[in-house]
Amino acid sequence: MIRYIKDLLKNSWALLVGLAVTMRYMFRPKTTVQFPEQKKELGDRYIGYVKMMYETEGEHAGVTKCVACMACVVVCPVSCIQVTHDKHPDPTKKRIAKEFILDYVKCEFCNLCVEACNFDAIIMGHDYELALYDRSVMDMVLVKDMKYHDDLYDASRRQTGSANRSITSPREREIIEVINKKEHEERIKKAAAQSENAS
Amino acid sequence: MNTMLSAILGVLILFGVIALQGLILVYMERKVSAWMQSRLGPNRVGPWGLLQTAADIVKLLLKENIRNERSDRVIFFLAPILAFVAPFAAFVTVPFAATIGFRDLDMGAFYVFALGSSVVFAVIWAGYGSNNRYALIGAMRSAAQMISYEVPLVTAVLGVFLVAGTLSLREIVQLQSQGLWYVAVQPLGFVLFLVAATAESNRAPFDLPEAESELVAGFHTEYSGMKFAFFYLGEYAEMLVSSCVLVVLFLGGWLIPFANNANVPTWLHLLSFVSKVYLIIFLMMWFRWTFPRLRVDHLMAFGWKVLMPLALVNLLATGLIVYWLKS
Amino acid sequence: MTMSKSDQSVHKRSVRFSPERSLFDQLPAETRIVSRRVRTAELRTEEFLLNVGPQHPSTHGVLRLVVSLDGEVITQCDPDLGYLHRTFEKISENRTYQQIVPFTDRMDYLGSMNANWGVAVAVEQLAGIEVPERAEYLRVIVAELNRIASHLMWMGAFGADVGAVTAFLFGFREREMVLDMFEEICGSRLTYGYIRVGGVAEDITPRFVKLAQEFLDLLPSKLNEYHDLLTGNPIFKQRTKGVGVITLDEAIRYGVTGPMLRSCGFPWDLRKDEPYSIYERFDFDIPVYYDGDCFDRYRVRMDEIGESAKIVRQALEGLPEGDFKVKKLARNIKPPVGDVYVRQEAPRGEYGVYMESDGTIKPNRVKYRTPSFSNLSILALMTVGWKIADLVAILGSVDIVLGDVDR
Repeated sequence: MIRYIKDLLKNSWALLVGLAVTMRYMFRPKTTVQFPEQKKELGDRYIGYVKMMYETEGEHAGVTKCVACMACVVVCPVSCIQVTHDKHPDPTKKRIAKEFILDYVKCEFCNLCVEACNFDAIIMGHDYELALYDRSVMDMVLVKDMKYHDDLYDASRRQTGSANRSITSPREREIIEVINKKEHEERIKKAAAQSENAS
Repeated sequence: MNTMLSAILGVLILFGVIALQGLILVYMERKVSAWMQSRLGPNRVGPWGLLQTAADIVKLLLKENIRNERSDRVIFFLAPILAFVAPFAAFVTVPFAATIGFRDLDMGAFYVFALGSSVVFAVIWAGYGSNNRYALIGAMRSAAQMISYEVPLVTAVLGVFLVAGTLSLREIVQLQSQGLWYVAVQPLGFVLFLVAATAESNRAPFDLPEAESELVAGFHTEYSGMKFAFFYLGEYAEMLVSSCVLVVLFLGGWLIPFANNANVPTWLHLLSFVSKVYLIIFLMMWFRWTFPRLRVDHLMAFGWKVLMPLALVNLLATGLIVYWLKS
Repeated sequence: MTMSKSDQSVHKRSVRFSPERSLFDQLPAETRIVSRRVRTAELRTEEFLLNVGPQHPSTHGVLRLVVSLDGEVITQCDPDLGYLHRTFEKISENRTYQQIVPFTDRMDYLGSMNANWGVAVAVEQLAGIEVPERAEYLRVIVAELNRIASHLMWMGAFGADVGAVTAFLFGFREREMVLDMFEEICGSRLTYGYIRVGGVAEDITPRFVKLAQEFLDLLPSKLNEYHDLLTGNPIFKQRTKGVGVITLDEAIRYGVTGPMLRSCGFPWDLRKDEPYSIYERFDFDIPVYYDGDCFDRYRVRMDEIGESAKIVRQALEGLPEGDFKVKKLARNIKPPVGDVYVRQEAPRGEYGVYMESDGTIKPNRVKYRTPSFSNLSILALMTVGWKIADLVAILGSVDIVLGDVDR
């Protein structure tokens, strides 16, 4: 009898302790984020969708940086990358990717292709809102006719009707702003030296 | 003819009010659960997400009513109606304020409990009629649960009737205005009634008939669209009716604490009643979002081995004291 | 409803369905069925066959259980696997050694770090690659953080299984902090691919260290909250204490490992008993409980969270400077002919990788020994005699990841 009452009181107390926990959280600030308006900050290394880098300055602006070395094609565990090549318009370089297609149905976001790339041609962008209704458009054409191309981004925006702009990752910004400029200057110097030699 | 018209009007008003309360309660449930889980809850449809439940109702109305091919057509159809009508009809005798209320029956409390226990038929019909094994288990559980919680529920209330000497809900409130509220006279009865009422209306931690993690959705697994909405609304109506009865029996109904209730406007009384009811409902929601679900045999054991003896002790003590005071 | 065959009460410990069950279990299958028929014939009841899953709220994925019921009591339970089989072993045999790692993420997706680690160590042992010390430290840190995340997630899911939905969201909330850390170092929140052959993918950042410190400081208070919410709760205790008991003998016979084995009173943990990597440098305990029921499995995991936090703290303090991966690594490793079996303590138990090299760039044979599969195999034994509500609690307490079961 005494044990019965003791158990009853003990258990009731334990229940009250549990109730206190939930009550405390009633009035605490909430942890959830209001997604489309508020976005969590992504880590610098965030793996979103693969982005193609391209020349931003000079006469070849808009031309892809990919030189079709096939390193990413070889390293990809699911063989989702297809690259065809052509002669580079810039005489200082040999080859260029004519078409670079990444099949997002297969891609498993392992980052191996980006790590394999020696030319900073592909990097991991921070875009993650690229849901599509159709599997058949998931072939992401990153390069078309040697030019930078982003039809998947367009397709997703068209299909989902969202007006979201693509998010620029720090790495992307770095490449566009710093490395590209440096390369461009170097190439001008090289061309100048060549023309001097020729003359 | 005139009384007929007024009765129909009254029923329509009641239906409107209860349906609205249902919407508010669903919204409140979502907000309370969200806040307890450090989430924000619905906040997209309308200001602060207030129209979320209305949007849900629209969705449910537009949804297809799917019926299992081998289900029992009549029973399957009747179950959601009974599930909603029974708690709805119980409101007839609830006194919302001194002058507001539909009918004051001499056997008001008895009527409420009788209707409350008839919901079990709806659950069994739903489980049997839908020809689904999960639903059947849910229905069997529910039958066992409702019967074993009906007894301590009524036994816990008997103390109040002993003290009051009447079964009319209005008179019980009026008696409370003269002296203490019955929660002070019958504290154990209050707690027992709260627990048993939670179990009776199939709320967590006693929500075995629809135990989501075990039985998918229990007795209403096969229901969709508006039929499902009726079950959903019925659950909240039942919760509302048991809170109303609890407030009437133990918390002084429409009375305002520490005030002279004789010359207070009716709307204040109504406000007092509604706020008390919502307090009790909040308590039930608080339980739901804190506790795990009981197992079916533990539930029975709890009902018969904990609630029932305590209710009997309460009844015995009350009876003796009442007898001693009167003699 | 028929007569209940088990005598369970609120205050006493539950009595099992059949006292001679282990003997009953040893009988050949045909006799078992016959004997069951005889029994049910006496009671003149019908067996109720319930198909739980593959779509069910609490089978943790696509598991199908064919359950025979006598009223609410389970008389037989047959797990039906294979809905998530993706032939990872064969896939691994057709990939180069470095390419295998991303696939292992998809096996045990709640303990990806450990899954990566096993493969990485297997390849390193085959090819004789020395891993830098800093890489080992980083591997320990992320693996233990992953263990914490996995156990937190399990705690939440188990809470939801027994009906406490709030615990589910609490568990997720704290797990999110670990995921933020992983996002910081490897860019992914679920399939990390962080531990690679020859080290780790990238070095940790100062922000990671800051986040880790914050998390470790916060964890004890959060654990106390879980204890208030679940461990002390009498309803939770009733639902889990004495439920789904397995004896140590049964556990060993079925090859059960990890927290499930430790809850039966056997302190078997590969981190202590067969210290791999640098685990012998850290001071930590192996939590052991003796009842072998759901509650003890819960307690073992909850205690392990604290122990893992201890390891992470020590590893962060002792983190040496140096390289985070081997500097010169061939693009395609060609290990000499030979085979290796590596086993490690994953959050769910013993995770083993068998790898056989034939001297080419691809392994000749790969076999994964995943803990969830072995742990699940005992389910049929554990659930007999318990109620349908216990089935969910017992299944939850096993901590299965269907990706890990089916591979």
